[in-house]
Amino acid sequence: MSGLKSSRSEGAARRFLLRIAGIALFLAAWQAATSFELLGPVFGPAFGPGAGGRALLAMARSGVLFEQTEASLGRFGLGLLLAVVIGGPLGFIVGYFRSLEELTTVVFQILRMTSPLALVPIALIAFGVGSRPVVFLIAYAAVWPVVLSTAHGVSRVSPAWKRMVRGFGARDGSVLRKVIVPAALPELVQGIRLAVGVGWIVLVPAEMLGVDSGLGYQILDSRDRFAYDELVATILVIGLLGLALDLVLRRLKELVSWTA
Amino acid sequence: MDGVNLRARASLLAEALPLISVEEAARTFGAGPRAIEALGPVSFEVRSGEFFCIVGPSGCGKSTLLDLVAGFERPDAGRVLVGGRPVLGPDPRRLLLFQEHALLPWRSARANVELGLELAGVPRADRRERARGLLHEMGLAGFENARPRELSGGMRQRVSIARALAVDPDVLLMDEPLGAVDALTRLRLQDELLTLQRRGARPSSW
Repeated sequence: MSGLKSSRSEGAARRFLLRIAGIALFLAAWQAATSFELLGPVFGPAFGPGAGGRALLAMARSGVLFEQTEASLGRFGLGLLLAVVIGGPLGFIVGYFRSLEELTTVVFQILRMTSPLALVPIALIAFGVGSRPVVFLIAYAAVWPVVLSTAHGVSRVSPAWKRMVRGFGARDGSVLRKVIVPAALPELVQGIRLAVGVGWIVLVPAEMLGVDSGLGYQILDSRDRFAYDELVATILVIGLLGLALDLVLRRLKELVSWTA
Repeated sequence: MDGVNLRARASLLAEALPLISVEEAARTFGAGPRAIEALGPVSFEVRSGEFFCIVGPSGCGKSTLLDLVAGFERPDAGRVLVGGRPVLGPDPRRLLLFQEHALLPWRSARANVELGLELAGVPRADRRERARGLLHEMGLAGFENARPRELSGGMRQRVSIARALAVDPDVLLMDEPLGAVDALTRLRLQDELLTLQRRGARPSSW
């Protein structure tokens, strides 16, 4: 038993080392490509991870980094919140009534596959310039995975469970609270996780439209100032924050999961 | 005034009347030439404290009959009365134990047993105590916090029996609830059910 346990922790240690090695290899290849200008003289050391890392520290010291991150996370959080508040209940309703699912499925699939960026002109006409169209575009991108995943979860709730609670005298409201919501919760969280992925990707281009703060704005601004090390630093922040958000949602999903 | 009188008289009558009476009840699914007669007209009576068995080949309408008494289905013809009143829908006073245990996998064994008490509005502390006691009685002491997937088939079925007993039903209807467990476990659980029935004098049917 102790042998089994130690071999399992050995496996975990090995996986951890391999992951660290993967990151190190990636950074080394990236640094080499820029140091030796392997992708052309345009992409010099300023585009490398070393310069980017130094710029990141400088931006952290000056506070620019936190200002832009705060602005972005605020818009992203609001957009995601709207997507969950609208998409969650909608998913429950659509999943509960079979005919409603048939009625909406094709339209929802088309809307889901329509890039939010195609809606930019409409968003600007409807919401004007500023944070509101950005929040709208994130919410639009994020709402479909929440709706579709939740509806799928609700439609798969075992009829035996619903019958059983009705046998104990449950009315529709109790069936919803005691069976349908807890049974579909993991798929709701899975939908939110997918929504975080797509919303985070939409955030950056959406912030390139008429706002003067945020990580997307920072990308354009550092380009305009030829501050390529800051550009790289901002790219690093976008990637790392995306990873952190996904880890949080993965953890949350494990917490509410009742299958595995 | 009159209401009190009527109720007193009704309870006197209840002593004499059968607890369950099925009168020429029938159930047909579908209509026209493709209609399936799931249950032909059938009549019987069960008195309080009786253990009543329905035996027959599969597909003969046993489950349909139990659904009528439990209130999940309504008869197309005839009547089903429990306690002198027609059955209009499911009611925790006449519980149906299913072939599949239908435990909620996200709830612990104790929380599963508490389900019916929750729906009846029993306070948390009382629920907890009652569930613990029943699990103990069913030989599941120490498994209060286990999830259904951590329990064996026989243990799951015991939890579902405890869940049913928790609400103290007048009638316990059993639709082959032991059909899915192995032969030895089935024999033991059958014995336990008989003991419970004798002790509580609950009329049952399966």
